[in-house]
Amino acid sequence: MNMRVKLWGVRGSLPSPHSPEQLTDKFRALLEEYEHFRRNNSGGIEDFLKRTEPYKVGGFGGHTACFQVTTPNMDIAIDGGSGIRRYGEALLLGPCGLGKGEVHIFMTHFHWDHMIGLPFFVPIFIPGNRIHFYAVQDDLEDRVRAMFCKPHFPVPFERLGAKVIFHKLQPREPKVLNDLTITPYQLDHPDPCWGFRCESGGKAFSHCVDTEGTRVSRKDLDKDLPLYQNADLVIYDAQYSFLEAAEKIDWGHASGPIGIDLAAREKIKKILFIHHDPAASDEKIHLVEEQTRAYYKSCLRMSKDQGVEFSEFEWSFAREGMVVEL
Amino acid sequence: MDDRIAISQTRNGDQLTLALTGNLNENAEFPQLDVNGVREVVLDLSGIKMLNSVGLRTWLLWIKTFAQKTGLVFVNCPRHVVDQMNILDGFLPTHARVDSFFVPYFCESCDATESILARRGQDFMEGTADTREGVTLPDERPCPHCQKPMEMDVLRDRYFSFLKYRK
Repeated sequence: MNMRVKLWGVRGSLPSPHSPEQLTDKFRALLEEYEHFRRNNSGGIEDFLKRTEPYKVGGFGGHTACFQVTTPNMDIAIDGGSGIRRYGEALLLGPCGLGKGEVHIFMTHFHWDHMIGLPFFVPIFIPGNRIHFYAVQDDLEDRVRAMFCKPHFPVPFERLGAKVIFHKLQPREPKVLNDLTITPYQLDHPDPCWGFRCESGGKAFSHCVDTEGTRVSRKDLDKDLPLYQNADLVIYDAQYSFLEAAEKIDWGHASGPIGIDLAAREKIKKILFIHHDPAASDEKIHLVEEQTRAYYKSCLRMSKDQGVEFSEFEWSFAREGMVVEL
Repeated sequence: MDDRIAISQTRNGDQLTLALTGNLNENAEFPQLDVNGVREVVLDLSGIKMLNSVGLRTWLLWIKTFAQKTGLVFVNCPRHVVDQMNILDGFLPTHARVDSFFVPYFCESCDATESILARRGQDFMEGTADTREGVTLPDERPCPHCQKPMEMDVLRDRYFSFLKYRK
């Protein structure tokens, strides 16, 4: 394993837990499917779950952006959405639980859904830990301090147990942390937002969220093109269906087909779509994924018909908790 | 070779025909269209070779600038355009009419492919609130090259689904 990426939060804009009514409906539908399954199969519950599409069982997840990138000698997080709470809990099992941890958090931008989990990131309260924040934006320290501020949160920044250190990143300049190199490239979002290309052991993972994908051609992407080129894994924004995204100009989010075309052209090996709309049910997200699948297949067919090269690649709409090893 | 979309306009009374040729992609630029006095805009799409999501996004925004002011008719739609009508909600505006589109046939005997132009009123009719859509094109037709039967190379349910009644 050269690099491992864990998705602690894939929802966009706002944490979106299932309501009791939604869970009851989901449970009822599953039980009905299980009854039907048992009438026609000899397998038990595990067999049924294996054959059932994962979104029908657990959904796509409700926590907002947080991603863990692990290499043999390094571990970083990207963004502090509500998913970072569980990342923090996982860290407590190691040195962070003993006040001897060193944590590195790279921030894409400061919209709520990428910050909201920080006050619930337990390692930051434990004396002895060192928490490093990184961002291109000049106001990184102000924005993080503002998360620990009365009356929004009872513990002021000055009383955090851990030592918090801020690092300014330079646009498109690599930052080397042990065996991991992280380079920020600009995305297309209403407030400045920076994606990160993470490289280690000859593998590349690019985090490309939040983005509207308004710059797509190589000419328009210009200095930010390397973010995408030949990446082994890309995480891309697909908050909306194609039509929704086309109509929501300057909302800062894209759709599956935009990522599919980018992946095909830039020889991306695998692309995962996230930032699912908080208003979308699991079924709606699945429908948008199916729309993207139909689009992908139409690209394959059209390229074949026109004699144009189109390299196939892996892709899916990501679920919370997903782990990809590169 | 410049592959960006080219549009030729022909005005015939109150009908404006736009013939599009080239690739509908990130290089696509569309003219601002004055549809004053135009009863319907006819979009001849037979010349669209390739398309992608960025081109389609530009297309959606362009169509929106005049779609509500005039009638819209799609003609000579190739397979990859029909695919998008079926996949992408909004590609075919609700009030637009499709007058003709291509249906691919494949001959297993000699590997020949043919695209047959299906015409509204003759080979198909879209669904309405009262009647279901209908397609009379046969599943098989004689191959013009070897005379053996060639088969329709699409799944009917999927390929013709854009003909369903759209509220």
